[in-house]
Amino acid sequence: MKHRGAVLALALTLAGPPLLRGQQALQLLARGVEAYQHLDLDQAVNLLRASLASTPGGGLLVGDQVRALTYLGAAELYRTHSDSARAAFRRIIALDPEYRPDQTVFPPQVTELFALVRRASPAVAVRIAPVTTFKARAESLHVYLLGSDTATRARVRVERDDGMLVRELYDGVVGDSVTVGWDGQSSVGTAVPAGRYRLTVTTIGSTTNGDRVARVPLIVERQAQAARAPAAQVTPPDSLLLPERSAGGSGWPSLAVGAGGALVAAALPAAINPGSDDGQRRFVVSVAIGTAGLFGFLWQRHGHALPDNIRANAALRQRWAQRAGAPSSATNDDVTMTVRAGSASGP
Amino acid sequence: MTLTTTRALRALLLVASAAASLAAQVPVQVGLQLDGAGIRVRGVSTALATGTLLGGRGSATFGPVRLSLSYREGRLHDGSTRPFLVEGGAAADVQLAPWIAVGLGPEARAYKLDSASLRRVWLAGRVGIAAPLIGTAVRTDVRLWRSVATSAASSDLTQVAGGEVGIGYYSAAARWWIRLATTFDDAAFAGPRHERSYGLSLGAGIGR
Repeated sequence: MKHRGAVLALALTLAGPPLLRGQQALQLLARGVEAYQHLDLDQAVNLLRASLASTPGGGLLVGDQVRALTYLGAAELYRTHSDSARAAFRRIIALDPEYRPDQTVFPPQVTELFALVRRASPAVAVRIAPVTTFKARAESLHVYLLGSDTATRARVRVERDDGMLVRELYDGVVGDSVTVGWDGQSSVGTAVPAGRYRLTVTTIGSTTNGDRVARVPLIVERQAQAARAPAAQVTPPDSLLLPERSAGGSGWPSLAVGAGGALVAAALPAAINPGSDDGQRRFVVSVAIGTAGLFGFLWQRHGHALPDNIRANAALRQRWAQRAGAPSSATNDDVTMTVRAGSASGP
Repeated sequence: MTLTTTRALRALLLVASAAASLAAQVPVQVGLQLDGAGIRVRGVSTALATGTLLGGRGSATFGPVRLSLSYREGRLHDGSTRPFLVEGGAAADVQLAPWIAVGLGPEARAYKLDSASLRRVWLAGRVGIAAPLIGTAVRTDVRLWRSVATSAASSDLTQVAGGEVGIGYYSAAARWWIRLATTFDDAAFAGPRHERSYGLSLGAGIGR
């Protein structure tokens, strides 16, 4: 029993100050909101700033911070301190790009200014599961990006803990949201070793504040598979290959046309005017047509090469060989990764 | 200007106006061919005359209708005289199916001798068939023609009939072709007289 009391006392000693600070911050927030509602704007601003000031080290949660900042921005706007209002709204966007002030609570002046600031201050929120286990290369760790505006652009990278680039995952428009996958491989196509990494999300295009960077710590663990997966297939299956020769068909029409043409060429003068015959030069054409007909017959019977298909198949075989011959491909197939993601930190 | 010449000019004007009208309505494909032919002519003089003709053919195709003009000339030798041969013609052909076409057009031929010129003018109807030999690139074709009218200026010319058999390579991608052909025609005059022309021609062309 004495031990239990000691443990409780110790726990209160350790956890007490943050809990107390959070409680005080919430009280300050509630009083600030009340002052705002009574249009005591100066008092509201002081109380809301005080609630936010206690946040580092155990004050308000993100949702409460956003609420405090919304009321703070509204109060500053009505005090005609629009720069301060914009600054509060920018902090909201950085905390939660999806957030929009409730239009039933705040008047249009507030929501319109917020919309203006949102468009001028693009931000991206990162959502990632705390723990993800996946097979390297075959599966992916999913990173959900939420943009503050449809034009929001972002660049997503996996970096080593010392900032060295491991792999760039995305560079483009986020829009409302986009899902980015990381298959556990570095930019050279090998599964990364276990260790500490970070996911860096850079919001591009903020002309007022420069690029905004959020970082999510990642801890990568690797487990080898008990059974090796079969080696990658070196050659593509036949179903993916195009026919390299045409199917052999009947060559008789070519032979018949060749024979007929040769005969007509040889007999042309006699056919037009029986009895007229002079010279042998027409037999040059006759032989040419007959030979071509015979060649066409053989060409059709045995099929013929299709150069375009041969080129396409060669390129496909080369791609498969390169993929199968990649130095780490066999080991990548065997690696299962567990990635533990921490909380995102802002700039 | 004779009545026949006037009629020929009217016919040419009609063809030209029809071509212009068609060109305004449908896409036009143009083709140009140059060829050389070794020719042997029997019946113009007492001996066999041989020589080489050079010339060409231009055509414009409007859908199934092809209008063409041809011209070739060259000097012949028969041992004692050197007649100069000039041939020309115009034709309108209709492609009835991919393998057969029929056409009609005036043809003219003139032998210029030292002392005189011998002119033969006729209106020819013709039919041509074509068939592939190796794929669609190597094809053979046969054309036969026969006069349906002869000019009054071509004294005692009663009938002209002829034919041509060729083999050609046609490049689908680059739109050029080469063609080897043998030709024969027989011009019959009143009485037992005939003029027979045998030729072996090699040509190359571009377009369609």
